[in-house]
Amino acid sequence: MSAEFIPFREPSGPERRLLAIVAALATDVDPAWLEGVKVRTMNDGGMGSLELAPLRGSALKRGFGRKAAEYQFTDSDGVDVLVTLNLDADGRPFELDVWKTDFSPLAHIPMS
Amino acid sequence: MPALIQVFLRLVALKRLGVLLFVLAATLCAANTASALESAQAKTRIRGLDFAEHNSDGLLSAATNGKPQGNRVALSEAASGSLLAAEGAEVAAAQAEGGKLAIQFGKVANQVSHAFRHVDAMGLERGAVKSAIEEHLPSVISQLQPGKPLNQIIEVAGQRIRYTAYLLKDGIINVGRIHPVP
Repeated sequence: MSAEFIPFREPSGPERRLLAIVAALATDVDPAWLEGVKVRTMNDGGMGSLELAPLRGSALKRGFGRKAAEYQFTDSDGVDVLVTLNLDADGRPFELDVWKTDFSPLAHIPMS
Repeated sequence: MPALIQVFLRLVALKRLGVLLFVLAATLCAANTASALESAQAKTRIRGLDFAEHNSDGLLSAATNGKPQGNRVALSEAASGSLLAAEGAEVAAAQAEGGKLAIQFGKVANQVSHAFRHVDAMGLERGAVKSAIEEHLPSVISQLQPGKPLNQIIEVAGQRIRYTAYLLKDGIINVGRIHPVP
């Protein structure tokens, strides 16, 4: 199933935790976006990337604008994970890009 | 022995053997699929060195300056101190000297598509982007350290893109993030 046909949903507890971590690092983005944020899983082979629903307008035709924050942690198997909060061309939170550096599925999201 | 046969017949009668065989077959299928996925890794080897100078991008440290960074620092120290990490850097350096680097953009098709999604949206050819990164990486191999992502900006077909490379302990270089530079 193509990602755009998957409905947006509430983030899970660990996903919300990770979103809060990067939101705190994105000092030039109004943190209000985090309240009521909806997400959908991206097809990245299980690494945990999330598309973030826009508060207004369509999720279609949004494109990468810039990186707002980056965070790095170590998964429970010792592999580094790079997390990036990407904004769209209008400066709205667009994606939480999660890259487990050995391309294996994400096992665990850190507590802080 | 007759008692065993009786037990066996009872199992068959209860269809448990059927369930057992099904589970066994499913396990074998899963093992085969995992093996097939592993062999389908998008691993690329390139030849040729490019000594052109390019700017390194310090966005990672800038974006996390003065903020909690998880265990990034601890990890970097652990990685740089480990024998495996040093071996990974040596392997990559030796590969670069020999004109070959093991670079991969994903292990499965979904991950390759994920890595290229933003440059796809820019209208750039994946092959051109891939070749440009493969040609550029040897020129910055000395900056690549295990445990530390390296952000680089290059130009492809007149458009600037940023890619992030990460050196694994076995010397393979993964590139999992490529996007336009505003």
